[in-house]
Amino acid sequence: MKFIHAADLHLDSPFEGLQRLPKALWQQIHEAPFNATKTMVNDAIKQKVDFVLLVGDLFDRETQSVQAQVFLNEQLQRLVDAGITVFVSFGNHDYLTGDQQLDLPDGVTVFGSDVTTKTLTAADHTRVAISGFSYADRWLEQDVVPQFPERGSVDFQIGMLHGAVKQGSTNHYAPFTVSELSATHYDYWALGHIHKPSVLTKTPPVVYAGTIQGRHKLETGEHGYQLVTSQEKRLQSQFVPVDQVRWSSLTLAVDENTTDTSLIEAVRTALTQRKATVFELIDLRLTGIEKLSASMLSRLNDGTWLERFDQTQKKGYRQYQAWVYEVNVLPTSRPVQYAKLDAEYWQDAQKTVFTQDNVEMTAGKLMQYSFIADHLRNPETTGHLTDWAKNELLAQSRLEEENDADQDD
Amino acid sequence: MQIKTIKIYGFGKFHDTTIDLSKRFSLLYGENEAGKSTLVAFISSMLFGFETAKHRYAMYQPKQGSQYGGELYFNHNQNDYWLKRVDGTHGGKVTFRNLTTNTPLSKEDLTQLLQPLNKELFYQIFCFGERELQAVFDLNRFDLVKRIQRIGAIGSENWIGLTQELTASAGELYKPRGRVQPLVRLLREYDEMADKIETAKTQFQQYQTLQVDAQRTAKTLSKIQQQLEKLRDQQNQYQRLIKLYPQYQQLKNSSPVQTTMLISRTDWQKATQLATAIRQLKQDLAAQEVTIKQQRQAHMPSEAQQFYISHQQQIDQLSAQMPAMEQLEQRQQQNENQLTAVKQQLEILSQQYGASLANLRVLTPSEQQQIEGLFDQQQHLSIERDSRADQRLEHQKTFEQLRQQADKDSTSGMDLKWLIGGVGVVLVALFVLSGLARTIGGILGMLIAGYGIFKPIISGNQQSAIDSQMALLSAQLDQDRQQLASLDQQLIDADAQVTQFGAEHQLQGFAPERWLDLQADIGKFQAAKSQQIQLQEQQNQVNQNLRTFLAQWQFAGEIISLGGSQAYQLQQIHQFLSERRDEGQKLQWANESLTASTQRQTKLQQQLDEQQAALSQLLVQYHLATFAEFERQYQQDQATAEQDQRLSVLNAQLTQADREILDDTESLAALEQFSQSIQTQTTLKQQKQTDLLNQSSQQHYQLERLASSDKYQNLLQQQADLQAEILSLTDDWLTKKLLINWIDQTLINASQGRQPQIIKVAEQFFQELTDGRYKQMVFTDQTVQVIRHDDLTFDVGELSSGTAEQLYVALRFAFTKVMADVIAMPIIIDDAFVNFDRQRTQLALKMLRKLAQTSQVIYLTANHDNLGFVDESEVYRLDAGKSV
Repeated sequence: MKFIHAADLHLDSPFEGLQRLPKALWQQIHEAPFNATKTMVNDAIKQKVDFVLLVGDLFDRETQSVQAQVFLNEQLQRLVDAGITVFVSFGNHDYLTGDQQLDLPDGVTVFGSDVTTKTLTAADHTRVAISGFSYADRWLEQDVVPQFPERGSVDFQIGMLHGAVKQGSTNHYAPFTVSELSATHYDYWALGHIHKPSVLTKTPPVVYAGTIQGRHKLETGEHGYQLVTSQEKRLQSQFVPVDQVRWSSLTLAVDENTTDTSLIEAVRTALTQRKATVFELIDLRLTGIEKLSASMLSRLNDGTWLERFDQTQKKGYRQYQAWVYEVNVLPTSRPVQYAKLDAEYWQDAQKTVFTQDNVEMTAGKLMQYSFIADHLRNPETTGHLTDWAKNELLAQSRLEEENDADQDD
Repeated sequence: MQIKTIKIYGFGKFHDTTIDLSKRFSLLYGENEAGKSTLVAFISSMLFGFETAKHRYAMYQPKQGSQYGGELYFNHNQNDYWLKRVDGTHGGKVTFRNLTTNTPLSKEDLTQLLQPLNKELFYQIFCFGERELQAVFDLNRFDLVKRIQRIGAIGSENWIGLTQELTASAGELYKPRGRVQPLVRLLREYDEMADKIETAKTQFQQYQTLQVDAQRTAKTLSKIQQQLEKLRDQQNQYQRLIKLYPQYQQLKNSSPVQTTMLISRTDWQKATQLATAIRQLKQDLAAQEVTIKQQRQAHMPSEAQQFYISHQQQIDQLSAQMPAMEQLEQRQQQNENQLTAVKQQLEILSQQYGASLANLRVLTPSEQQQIEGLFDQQQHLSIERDSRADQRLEHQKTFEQLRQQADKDSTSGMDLKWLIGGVGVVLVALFVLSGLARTIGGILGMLIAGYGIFKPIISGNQQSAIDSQMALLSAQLDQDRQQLASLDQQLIDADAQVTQFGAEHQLQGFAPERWLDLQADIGKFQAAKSQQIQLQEQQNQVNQNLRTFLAQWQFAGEIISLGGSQAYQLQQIHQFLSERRDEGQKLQWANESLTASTQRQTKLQQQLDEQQAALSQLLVQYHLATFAEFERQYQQDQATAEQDQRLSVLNAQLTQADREILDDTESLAALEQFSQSIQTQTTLKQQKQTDLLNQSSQQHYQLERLASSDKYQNLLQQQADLQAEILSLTDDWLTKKLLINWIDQTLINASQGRQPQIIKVAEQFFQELTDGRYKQMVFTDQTVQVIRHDDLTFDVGELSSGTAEQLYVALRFAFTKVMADVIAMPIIIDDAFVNFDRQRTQLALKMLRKLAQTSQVIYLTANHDNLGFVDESEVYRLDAGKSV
């Protein structure tokens, strides 16, 4: 018995954090989730799996597009045509409502909002029971695991659950605990919602398939699906990457001798030496910036350098199989030298200034934009802003020194 | 720190200059361009290092080639130090020494001693420039307050400057009420994009609605199509019925007339065949009768034939003899010919031999032998005699020759015979012959004649031999003569015998040599004679016979027209008989034909009877008398059958439903009317169908378009990209904003931290500067207030600009004092009070003096007035090079 466990296709969700891409690359990236899904379907057909589980968030209700819908239907139809049963449960993004029923192809089994169980007999005559449910709303705050039935008298019992491990007091996405799942004695828990593929426990396998294609810088590393095969009485999952574009980072050290050109060369060399199998979107991280000349540092800070590098990588990205989409200058631990006398004042001020509240307050009207608000509310953002401010301060102080010296007569 | 002495080797315009600064307060006076800034730079450079080549103008390389650098003597924490710094790497070569403990120290020790200061901080905290103060004085009240509030932080002026720059650059990115800044622009773009997306998003609803609509359309369409199908069927039915209607109408009333017995097709065919056959037979019979009649007419025999028939026996008997008679007649002819031939023969012989021949008789064989013997004897004797005579002649000749030889002069007699013969030949040749023959004959003749002439000459005789021989020969000659005589006798006897034989046989008339030959002619003659007789007899016999025969034909003489010669009569008879035979044959054939015709006629009649019987039988079967009636009946039956057929076909074409419709329909017009209404309905439905098809294809096209449109998806991605750009700009902007905030906060914090001390000092200084008019300062979060000696409180904003400036100066110096209390460094003032009036300057100097109580104060000025406010001992004139 063999099946594919995938989740979080997010077919209509765009890639985040990219700008000024060459058109061809833009197109390539734009098509990545589709191609990843297509690859998975190809694999399913080639592997002759018995069924495919899609554990929620196939698309986003908020941004649902006809194209994505039609594409999904085509792909599901291919599976159905190949005699592969498809089980779909909807998650928090594609939750099931009465008003906007989806027309998935005949032969695709969609779980309703209550936990139900479907059974089927695999090609090797093993009997499989699959239990699952779909979200009926954007949020599902209660633990649904108790609603899952007792393990039946089948060869394999599988649970489909789109949710997150219980954390703190407020949980919006079908919270559960791993021990709770283990206690069901199911043979496999097919999880969705978390985009990073991960195995929470091995016995029984409680597995996040992860999203099929990483869509922003936080979804780094390989993405794909889980190919689950029966080995005697047990189910074994194997992660299969099918992502077409991968988010990654590259860390380079810079020093006082680094110039615009030498840094471009260094990045090119590093990219060329890197042996990537999949196209990578790269976050370039630079260390040792305190040694940089002030002007170089400020060109890195204000994006001038990246704009210049763009010219280079526009010509070479096919060859590198990579695109540097961002440059991050890692903050130095060394404090601003001439503030030593006031160091404590600086630190105190930093604490009061770089708070989320202050960030939001400073952003003011910008907070009206939800995506900006989301971004600024992200705790990491404040950290980044602090780092950037420090870098800026460093660069400015350097400039100051240089300017002051020049101004004297 | 107290700088005691400055020794300059070479720095900027200074070279080999020593300045004594042992006082706590020193006033360095110099005109503009005297090198006040250079001196400040020298002090800071000595302490913190020379500027690098990067800042060439701040290096102050000496103009006159002196050694770059100099020395400083200073006291710090109760220790005296000597510092020498000359040109070298990393800020210059340093020689440093603790004079108190007399220990050499390193460059690092100097840095250590100056901690936490660097050149920047030193400038920011301990150096005042005219420019700096002037800038503050130029501030508006609000900024001034801000500046005053932040005065407690190190380098706050610079920081504030930085925040201003940052504010400016942040403002270039974004202003909440801006219009042109990139972030503002992007946000506007984003708003537009969001609208677009909102519109595009409706695609999904559109798609779904379309799907539902398309399904509905398809359903309606299929319904319409079914209806159309039904209408089409109905229309077909009606069209069919309309076509059938006249027939139906026609047949509806005429029920089929079923005759008891219809003439079957086979019977009709049979009858027709029979009738045809009868007609044919009748024709044949008529023809046959004509034929027979003709034949009968051709059957009459001729008169001759009739005669023949009546005398057939007699004629046949006679005619049986005819061949014999004809033979006879031929024989007669032949005999006649033979007779003629014989007569001719006889005549020839008679002419040859005359009448004597008839008297001769043929010799018998013995007689013939006899005579042949006689002749042989005669011949023998004659030959014998001739040979003897020749021999004798020979002997004579030889003898003659011998004699001639013996007798020389004996004339050689010419042989006359030869001569004459030769002449004769020549003559003949001359006259008779001609040409070559004449020549040859002539020559031959002459040769012969010649031979005759010369013959004797040729024969010579030898005289000697000759005589003997002559004797011999003579005897011989005699013998020859005797023999010859005997022989002649014998010959005479033989001749006599022959003559006698001739007489005996009456052959005297003929030469004996012909006798034997004559025998054949005699035979012939005699044979011919007898043949003639015989033939004549036969001829007579034949004539007799013929005559008799012909006489027997006399009864038919008239018919045959006998007459003429026997041969002609025979010929006539023959022809008659031949004609009769032909006619008889002909008559017989005619008779046979007639018989055949008659037989055929009979047969035809028989057939006719049969056929007529069969036809009659058939007709009787149908109770009909004639074939014409039959035919008529058949046609009628046929029409009936056809009608029945049509009816049944029509019936087959009509379904139950058809019949019902037809039964219910009053007229064709009604049918047509109904059909018309179906047509109308069909047209309407078709129109609807077309509309629906259009609609459906439009819907499908739209669905297709929506499905294949990646516009929305692209917009989403564009939006995401735009978001990324916006966030990136927002981050930049926020970074700047927060940095400003941070710096500001730091300044405020630092200021607030140092506030109590600073205010305490500043209040003193402010009192000094205002000559006691103000006594107290109050710092609030919002503003700074001062309290006048009369306890009136003023906001900074309410103060006159001069007073505000004084306030700032008091605070600024208070800050420096506070800082100098922590880090004791000389305070260097570069003509800070140029704008102050005399009184204020005096007050300021007074304040500085107070400041000098705790820190060394070096005051550089170009204002000569200032000299009046200080002790002369405290003054150093830069242009003079030494203290006044």
